[in-house]
Order: sequence, then C-alpha cells, then structure tokens
Amino acid sequence: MIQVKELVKTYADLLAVDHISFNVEKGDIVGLLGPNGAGKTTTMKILTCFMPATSGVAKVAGHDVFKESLEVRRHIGYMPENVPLYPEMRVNEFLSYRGRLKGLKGQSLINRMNAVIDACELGQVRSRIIEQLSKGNKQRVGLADALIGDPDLLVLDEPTIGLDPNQVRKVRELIKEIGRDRTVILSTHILPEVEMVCEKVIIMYKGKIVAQDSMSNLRSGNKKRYCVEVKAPKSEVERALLDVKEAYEIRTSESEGWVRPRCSRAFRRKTSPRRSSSFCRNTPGPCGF
Amino acid sequence: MRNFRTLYKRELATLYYTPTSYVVMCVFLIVVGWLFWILVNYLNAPSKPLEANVFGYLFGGTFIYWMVVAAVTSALTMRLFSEEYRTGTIEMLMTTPVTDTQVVLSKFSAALTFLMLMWVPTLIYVYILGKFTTVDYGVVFAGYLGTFLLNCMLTSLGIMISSTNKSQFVSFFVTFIGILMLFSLNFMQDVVSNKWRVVYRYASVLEQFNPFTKGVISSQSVVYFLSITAFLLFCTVKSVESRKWR
Repeated sequence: MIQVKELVKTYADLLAVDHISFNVEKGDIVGLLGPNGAGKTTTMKILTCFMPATSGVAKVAGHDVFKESLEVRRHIGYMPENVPLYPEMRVNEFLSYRGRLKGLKGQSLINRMNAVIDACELGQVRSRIIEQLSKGNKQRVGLADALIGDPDLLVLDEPTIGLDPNQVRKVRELIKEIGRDRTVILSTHILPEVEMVCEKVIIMYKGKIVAQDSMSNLRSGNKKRYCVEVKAPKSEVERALLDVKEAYEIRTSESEGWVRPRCSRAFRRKTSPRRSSSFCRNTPGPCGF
Repeated sequence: MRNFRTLYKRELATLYYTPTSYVVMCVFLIVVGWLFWILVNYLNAPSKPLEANVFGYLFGGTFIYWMVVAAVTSALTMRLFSEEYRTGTIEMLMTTPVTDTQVVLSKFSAALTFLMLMWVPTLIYVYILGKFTTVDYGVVFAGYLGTFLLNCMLTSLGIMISSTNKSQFVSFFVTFIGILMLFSLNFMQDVVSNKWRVVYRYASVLEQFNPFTKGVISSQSVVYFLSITAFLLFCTVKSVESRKWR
C-alpha cells in the first residue's frame, strides 16, 4: 500500500526526515512511534501530498505522491494533528461538504454520512455546531471526515492526543475496528498505544528509523541491549555493573538522581545474567528513549 | 467544476456565518446612504452648475468612498487564507482531491459575490432618483460595471495578501494600505517627472475608474482591471503552491 524509499525532508537547515525507507502492506495497522520532533508528522504530511519530500520516493497505492498527487489523495483519509475543523459549521454540514469534496453525491453521500456518523457515534451531536463540541467529539468528527471518502488508507496523526482516558480507550477501539478492512498508519509517542492497536511498528528517532518490525517480533527478539533506570549514586551503579560478567559496553548517564546505565548483553556466555535488584523500574526495550 | 461549486458554496456560506461580514455590510450601507444624501443635496441646489458625472458621488467621486471600499474589501478578504493557515484547516483542505487553482478561484468568487450582493440594495437609490428626475440608465449601468471590475481587482489583491501570511490583522492592514496606495497614485503624478507621469496616470485606479462614472466604458480600463485581477490571482495560486517549494 505504501512504499517509501530513501525519503529526505529538510526545513531550511533542519533535517527532519533522514533517508527513511519502509513498506506498508495492504490491511496492516502500522504505528509510527517516536518522541516529539522525530519526523513522524513530516512523514505523514509527505504521504498525504501536503508537501513534497526534498528527495526520495514515496508511493501510495502505486501512485507517486508528488507526480500523481490528486490520484493519491483519492485513496487517502487523513486526520491531521490537533484535528483542524471549521468551527462555524454543523457536524452534518461539515461531513456533507467533505464528502462532496471527496467525490460523493446524492444518495451515496447520504448513506456514507449515516455510516460514518454511526461508526464514530456522532448521532447525538450531528446537528450541533462544531465549535461547541467537546474535544473528544471533535476528534470523532475528524475521524469521521477521514473515513467519509471510504479510503483504502487512513493516515492518523496523534489520534488520541489531548483526550481523557475513557475517550482514548474508545478511540483506540474505533481505530482497531476501522482497521479490520483497510490500511491504517498512525503516529504516536505512547508505546502502550502502539502495543494495543498496531500489528507493525516503525520507531523513529531524530528523523531516522531505528527499528521496524511486527509487534510480536519486537517483543520476543532483539533484546541484546537493556536500558534500566536506577536511583543510586552513579559510582555505585557502575561498580555493581562491573560485577555482572555478561554485561559489556556499559555507558551511564545521570539526571535528577536517576542513573541510566546502558549495556549490551554478551550472548556468548551460557550463564544467565544476574537479575537486577528490586530498585530497577524499567522493563527491557530498545534503547534510545 | 463540481469541486469548485462545493468550495464556492462553503466559502459564501462562511461569509454569511461570520459576524464581521454583517458589520462590514452595515458600515458600507450607511456610508453609501450618506453619499446618496450628498448627491440629492447637490441636485437640489440650483445655484451649482450641473456636471456630467453626478453619479460620481455614488461611485468613487469622494475620498470617503475609497476609504470605505478599501476597508470593506480588506475586511472581507483578510480571513480567506490567513484563517485556514492559522487553524491548520489548509492541511485538511489540500489533502482532498482539489487543485490549488480551484481553491483560489472559489474563494475569490465567493468574496466577489458577497461584495456585489452588498451593492444590490443601492439600486433602490437609482429607483428613487428615477421617480423624481430623469436618470440616464446607461450611466448607471456603466457605474455598476466599473464597480464590479474594481471589486474584482481589489478582491484579488486582498486574497493574494491573505495567502501570504497567517495573521488576519496583517492581511487586513497590508491590503488596506495597498488599496490606498493604488488610489493615491493619481495624486502622485503631480510630483514626479514628465516621463513617469504617464505611467502613474495609467496605473492609478482613480484614473481608470473615472470614465465609468461618466458612462464611458473604455476598453483600456476594462483591460486594466481584468489583467491586474488575472495577474494577482495567478500570484495567489503560486503563493498557495509555495508550501511545496519551501
């Protein structure tokens, strides 16, 4: 569904996306995970044809995002970050307007509108003015807008940001539901969200892809490196780690009393590494966050 | 074409939703009413010699008219793009299968329609005049045609400036000053050398607009207004597209 090859985007002197390549198959729910400023939103803006890349190729449904922009846009439902909507319009006016822009008309527009209003549970607020809606409902309107053209690919930029926990849960369920019969790519900086919703994850950091794999592979393998945080004096932590025979390449950094040692595990030795003591608070995971 | 119609309808509806438009409409009608009162006063004073362009009072003959036209056009065009940039809705708009040209033309047409509909109530003045005196309807028609062409040009200037920045206030201010500068080129021709005088005179909005109030539809003026409109709309499309080159 999506093919990205050596994509680069620079803003003036800032390198926002740095030679990234990935593929997304039809029907996948893919999470773009990374801290703020990792290049997730930029990648999405390029995929949705809002702006072109500096170099590299990106294709959606077989069409180049730069050369066949209009064709690509027909395949995409996009919900930008913070869900910009026209505040003065009513929900059904807005959805009807967006549906028309995406090529629907007559009875098919009405049917599609009813379907997305049902799917996004907007029935009670369909004739309310968007400005007066709660944040959660606005988010739903954004999602309904992304869905109205019945797109093959749904691009959602931080779909749960700013919602209360209850709404977050509902939106995640909704995305999962939607993702059954179409491709979804969503960005987030919340790891559990990816774990709950996505089948595949692409981890970005400072414009680069640091890992991409299916959730199950990431969970089971690749634990060559550990990242733990310990509250103890730095020198003591280092001394304690030196006693662990299996650990090498130890680097430690310190902030606010927490020491963060990073070390790699030597697989050559058969003995299992000594379990960390009870003051460790992190589970093993890819380093860098 | 379908996309254009959808976009145009939304833009026009938004102009009628926003309270600013009603304030603008009110101020405009009050001022035009006042200008009509001046016109009637002039016609009632037999001591004054009758000029050919009495309709100049209604169309462009007074400084206040230009101030109001500048303010009204700036206020109506300021939000067209600036607001979309500020709230981020431009991202949503430009990721649907519509072209930049369709978006620019629909916004332009909607603002122009609103401006011209504002002029419709002024036809009542023509009707009242017709009741009490003989009116040359040819002159009236030329006056309205001139107003239409003038509004085309000023709206395209406003939309062009709105497409360059996020702030409605900046858009308003720059458009307002821009229109007043075009207007004042007429006065500046007296302070420049002979060589430049003809350029200033040709570029002056006032100079090009005046024939219409006398009932003269000159092809030079029509070309002047339409070509500048087309050029400014072209610049707007390029300005909207510029997000792709940055």
